[in-house]
Order: sequence, then structure tokens, then C-alpha cells
Amino acid sequence: MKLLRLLGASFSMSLRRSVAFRINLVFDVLLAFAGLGTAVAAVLLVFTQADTLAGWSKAESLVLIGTYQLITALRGTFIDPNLSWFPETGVRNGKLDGYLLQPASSLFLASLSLSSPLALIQLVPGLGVLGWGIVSAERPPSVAGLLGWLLLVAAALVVTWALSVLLACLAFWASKLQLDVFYHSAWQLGRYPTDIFSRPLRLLLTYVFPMALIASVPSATLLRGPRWEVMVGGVAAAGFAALLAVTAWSAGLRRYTGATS
Amino acid sequence: MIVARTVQLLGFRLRQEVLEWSGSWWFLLTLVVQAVVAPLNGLFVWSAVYPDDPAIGRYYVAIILVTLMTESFEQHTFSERIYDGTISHELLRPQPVVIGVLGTNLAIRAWLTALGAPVVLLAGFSLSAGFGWWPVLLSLPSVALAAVLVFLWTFLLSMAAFWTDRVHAVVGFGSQLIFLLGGTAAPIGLLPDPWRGLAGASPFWGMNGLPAEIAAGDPYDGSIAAAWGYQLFWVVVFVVAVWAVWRAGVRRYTAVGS
Amino acid sequence: MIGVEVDELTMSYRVPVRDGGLRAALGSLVRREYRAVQALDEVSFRIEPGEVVGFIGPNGAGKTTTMKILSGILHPSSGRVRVLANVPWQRRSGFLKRIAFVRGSQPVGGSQELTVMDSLEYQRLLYDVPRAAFGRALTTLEELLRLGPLLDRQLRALSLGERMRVGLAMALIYQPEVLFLDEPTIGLDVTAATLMREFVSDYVAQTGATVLLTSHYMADVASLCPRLILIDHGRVEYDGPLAELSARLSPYKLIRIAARGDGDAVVHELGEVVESSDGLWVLRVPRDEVARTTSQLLTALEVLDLAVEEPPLEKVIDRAYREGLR
Repeated sequence: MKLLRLLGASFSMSLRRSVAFRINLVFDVLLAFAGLGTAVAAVLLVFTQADTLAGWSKAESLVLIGTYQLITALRGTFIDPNLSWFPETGVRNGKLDGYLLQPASSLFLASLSLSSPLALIQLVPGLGVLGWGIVSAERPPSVAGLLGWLLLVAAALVVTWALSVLLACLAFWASKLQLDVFYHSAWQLGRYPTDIFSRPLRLLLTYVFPMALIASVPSATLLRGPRWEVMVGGVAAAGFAALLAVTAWSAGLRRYTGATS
Repeated sequence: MIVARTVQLLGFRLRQEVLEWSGSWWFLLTLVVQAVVAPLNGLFVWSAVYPDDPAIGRYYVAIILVTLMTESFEQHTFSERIYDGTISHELLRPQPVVIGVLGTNLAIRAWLTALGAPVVLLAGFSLSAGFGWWPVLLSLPSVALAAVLVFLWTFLLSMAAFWTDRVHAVVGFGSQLIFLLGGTAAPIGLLPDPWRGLAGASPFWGMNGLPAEIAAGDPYDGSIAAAWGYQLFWVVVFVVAVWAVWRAGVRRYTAVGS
Repeated sequence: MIGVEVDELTMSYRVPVRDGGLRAALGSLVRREYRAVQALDEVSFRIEPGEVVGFIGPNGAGKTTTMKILSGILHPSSGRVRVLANVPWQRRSGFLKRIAFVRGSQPVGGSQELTVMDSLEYQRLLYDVPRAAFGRALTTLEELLRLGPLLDRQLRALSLGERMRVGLAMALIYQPEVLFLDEPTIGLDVTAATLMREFVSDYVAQTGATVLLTSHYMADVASLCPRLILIDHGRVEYDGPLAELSARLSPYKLIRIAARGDGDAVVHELGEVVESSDGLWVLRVPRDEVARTTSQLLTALEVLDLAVEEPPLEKVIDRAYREGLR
């Protein structure tokens, strides 16, 4: 409860401060639209040449891009300001020391206490594309599909948070290894249906670095209806990823504070 | 005389930068991944649409290679120096500032190409792409011109740092244009009609798509001379633009001071 | 209850050694070599509630490491530590609310976009400070630290001196009972440093807080800390009053005199002249001979002015760092 209050306070304070920079706001809006426009254009291009992309219709692909954008926006707003370039910004400049001194969970403080509300602007065009996809679908989504989508998006957010935490935990063992660029690149693979990839890559993206869960799986659920094994799998993956993240964080912290040696 | 000295300075700078970057080889590897992801996505998408066409694979392998050889990061290497004020030291030295920028640029490209070549070869073999020697040789001058174009474009946009603190947004927008109109999102022959013409005339096609098409042997069917002429035209345009913006930017920087 | 209790605190850690270059980097992935660093070696001391203690020593002596252990950031290799009867590295939230650790090198963390008032509000939520207590503390801090004009400014726009004031305000808004100050005046100009010292002494007088303070500026220590702990190579070399340390390190005092006429010959006869210029001399005299020398000077010369001084603390400490105490 206290953590939620802290999150809310930090978000609303940052929001009030950042709208003061009108020019940055304009830039961010333009970039959000341009970025999403590029992604949509790249997919629409495909549908000028073919009716389906690896079994995905145009409407389904739009839903996928919208969902991907939604999760990317939330990540950029709540997670990236805390965990990106963590070895440098979190550990080397002493921010982590500060968190360790504060009377709240260090994992919460390090992974969620800062936010950059302007990034939430990406949500607007994302939701637009999502709506476009739903409207242009042959059949409107069922209630079950919608609920399934919501649940899987929540699971995807948990997985996103956990992946970022795991990546940041590398700082405790190999502080010179900054894999942020790699992470952001791999993230781009979530933009398209995972069905387009060759089998080994698809398996990798489903079970090891679960980009499939970020957009492909929720989108398929929204328009094609939920399948119970997918739902259970998604929730289990989220639980497992979160557990892994918490474990890695406390192990890393033990190492950082010298409790192991 | 001036040219000789410039080349000498550049060579010195280049060697220094290549050595300096060797310490961050793992970081360079992540940059390779970053460069490769967008064309790789294109490759998968279009292979799914045309599963039996070997030309797609060949084209995208060439695109990956061209992308690696033409990557530019002036928004990091140059703009950050404006933001933290260290550009002032460079302005005081008796050599053009662009030499330092160029040295870093070439060093990073050299590393990316060296580290990324195995990926490209792997992709080439697995797709049994079947390049011909002659088209590949013929494409080299065009690749060089593409490298010049990408550098000029990125450097041009990076100078936005003289005016705004959102240079990454500006350069990001520029990269999206290259992605969309340059032949990475789709070979420009596949674009719908008004866009195909626009992309073909824009400088972006000359940055990635054109050299890749020449190397792959198709679908480019114009004369080589026409291709070079088109790229050279844009090089001249960008050089003039860079020169003008640089002058305005430095005037602003020295007036505002920081 | 004892404020801070430290018994045989030892901290050692391993750092990887490797050469530069690609080959060494690849090699270190496979096989790493380590070097052991002994940061603290059986350090023991205790600090009573309300005491203000200066913690001094050369760079790398282990001061910051000790502070990090006392505030719970680091876990020692061995030894017993209690701060307010708590084991710091268990980091219980009740304990963390009662201590503060402020570093002059990085006084304020958190989002730099926020204003000072925002950040203080956030601290109120984080440390569960009741509104009434928050209001009272804020009024006091506003006055002592001259915060008024800063409250609406963004953290990123503050100067170094302002940041330090804000850093202290953020730490003190929840009224901690134990305060660890690591180089609180580093990089500050004379005015800001003086303000800081006045503030710490006022705060201690008002709240009775326990303070452990490190500084490289002897003025900080001399004006704030009746007691000093000198640490070097991870070991406590001295623990006691400042005056005693000074006497032990420097068995001399300085006599500064101004006289009319030519006194050069007389002055040189009575002691070692360390400075002289045109009617002014500074003599170095063993402590137990100060009284005798002074009266001799007064009778032999037409003295205009005379002062007996301790040697500059900076020089004394410098000698202790370089030559050790034993």
C-alpha cells in the first residue's frame, strides 16, 4: 500500500514538472507518432503484397502493433527510468546506496520509484492502432477474448519488469557488461508475429527471452479467443519470471553488500 | 598540402579510436546486434511473404552488410560533446572538429564490420544466397558513397544539439526515414506507387537499398553511372547543408556559451 | 542505550586484477585473478548518544567503508556492530528511519526533475513522517539552512552548496537520531562551509543527535568535534580529544611577536625562528618552555604584540598521516 502511494506520488510530481517543458513535450509527441507510424507503415506494406503474414490478418497485425506499443510505453514510463544503464546510473554513481538506506524494499525503489510520465504519450497512438485493428477485424472480440487479453497484458508487464530487473542484476556480477543496447534490439523482435521466425528463433523467443508473450500471445487471444493452456502458461511464466527476478536481486544484493564473502 | 595534413590527422585519429574501442568489444557486439535487428526483421517478414524467392534473402544479406558498414552514431559521439561542453576544447584546437567525429565514426564502423561479418556470412550460407563476384565488386564504390551519405545525414541531424536537448528524438526520426524509404522495411520495388517514386528519388535509398541491390544483382536495372550520379548529387547537397548548419550552430554555441 | 558500538570490525574484499586489452578481457572471462584488500582491521570504538565525533584519516584509510557499514549498506567480514542497538545491515525499516547518511560527493539522489519541495514531500511519505512533525521540522530547517528560496527550484538547477543544504534537509526532515556525515563540506566555498558547520552544531544542540563526521578540512573537525578518531590503513590510530592529539603530535607551540627596534639577535637566541619579517617573528618553542621564553622576550624587547598559538592543525595532521603516531 505504501509502495503504491510512493509510486503515485513520484508519478504525479514528475508529471507536473515535465509538462513545464512544452518543447520537449512536442518532440515526444511527434516522435511517438512517427515511431508508431513507421511500424504501422512497415506492416501495411506487407499487406499490399499479401493477404496474410505467416497466418496473421491485417487486423490481427494491427492489434499486435498496438499491444506492443502499449507495453513499450508502460515500460518506458515506469521501468526504463529506473533500470536502464543500471551498472552506470544505478551502481557506479551511488544511487543504489541511497536506496539501501531508505525504509522500503530496495527492489521496489530501484526498479519502480522513478517515472517519466512523458513517455506515456506513446500510449495514445498505440491505443489508436489497437482500436483500428479491432474495428477492422471480421468479428469483434468476444468478452472472453478481451479478458484474456487483459490478463496476458498484465502477465507481459510482469515479465517485462522481471527481464529488466534480471538484466540490471548483471551489474552485481559483471558491472562492465552493459547489455541495454542488446535488450532494446531484442525487444524489436516483438514487433512482428513470432510465427514469421524460423523454428529455433521462435522457440528462443517463446521460452528463453519471451518476446512472444509481450505482443503475439495477447493479440492472438484478443481476436481468436482465449485458449486455457496459453492463459495458464502466460500466468505461470509471469510468476516464474518475477520469482527469478526477486531471487536474482537478493543474491546480487548479498554480493554487493559483501554478505557472501 | 592541406589535404595531406587532413588525411594524416584523420589517420592518426582513426588508429587511436580503433584502439580505444577495442576495450569495449562486448559493447560493440551489442551495437552489431542493434544494427542487424531491423534488416533481420525485414528478412523474416518478406521471406514469410515470398517463401520461395532466393532474391529476398540475397537482398537482405546485402542490406545487413551495408547497414553495418554505414552505421553512424554522431548523436552519441558528437552531440553529447555539445551537451557536456567538451566541444569547446575541440573548437580551440588547430584542426577541423569534423576530423575527430569522422575518426570515431570510421573506427566504430570498422569494428562493427569486423565483428558483424561472421553473422552476415552465416546468414548468407544458411540462405545459400549465391552472390556473384562481379556485382559485389561493382557495388563497392556505391557502398562507399552510401557510407558518406549516412554519415552526413546523421551528422547533420546531430547538430540539432546546438538548438535542442532532444537530439536523440531528431536523429531517431531520421533513422526511421532511412528504415522506411531506404529499403530496409521493404525493397523499394515493393512499395505502392507514389511512395516508390519518392523513395527512389530520396537520399535514403542511396544510403542502404541501392548499394544492396547492386551487390545482390537485382532488382536494380539502371546503369551504374546513373546510380553513382544520384548518390553524388545527394552527397553534394548534404555537404552544403552540413557546412551551413555547422556555421550557424557554432555561431549560436559561441554566442550562448556554456 | 549506546549510540554506536563497534567491536573488532574487520572488512576485507577481493578485487579482480587484469590487464587492459582484448586478450586480457577474454582471458579474464575464463580465469580471474583476485587481490585481497584489507579495508578495516579490527576497528573498535563506541559513541555515546549526543556525542559529535570527527572521523579523520588519509584517503583510502577506511572512513567511508566504516560509515557504509554503520549505516547498513555494507556487510562486514567480521566483528560486532550495533547502532541504536540494531545490527545495521539487517536494514530494518524502523532502524533506517532513525539514521541518516549524507555524502558530500552525492548529497541528493532521486529524480533531478523534481523540485526541492517535491523531494521533501516524497521523503515524508517514504519515512512515514506525521504531517505535524513534518511541518515543524520543515520550519526549523527552512530557517537553519535558509531553504526558503530553494523550495520551488528543481534539483538539477541547484549549485553545489545548495545541493548540500538540500541533501541535509532531506536527511533531517525525518529527525534521525544518528547522523553520518561523509565530507559534508567538500567543494563548498568558505561561506557555504561555515553555514554548514553552524547548522550541524545548531542541529546537535537542538536535537541531541549523535554525529559521526569525516572531513579533510580540519576547520570542520576543530569547530564541531570535541573528540576525534583517527584511522589509517584500516586501524584506529588515535581516539580522544583534539587538544591531546595536537599536543602529542606536536610538542611545540608558536610564539608570534612584534617588537620595536632591532630584536633579531635576541629572538634568535631564545628559540627557533620559523618566520621573520621586519619587526615580526614567529618562534617555535617546546611546550614546557613557553612561559619562560615569553617572560624573557618581554623583558629583553620592547614588545608591541605577543601571541601564543597552537601549530596549524593541518600541519599536525599531515605529519600524523605521513609518519604515523607511533
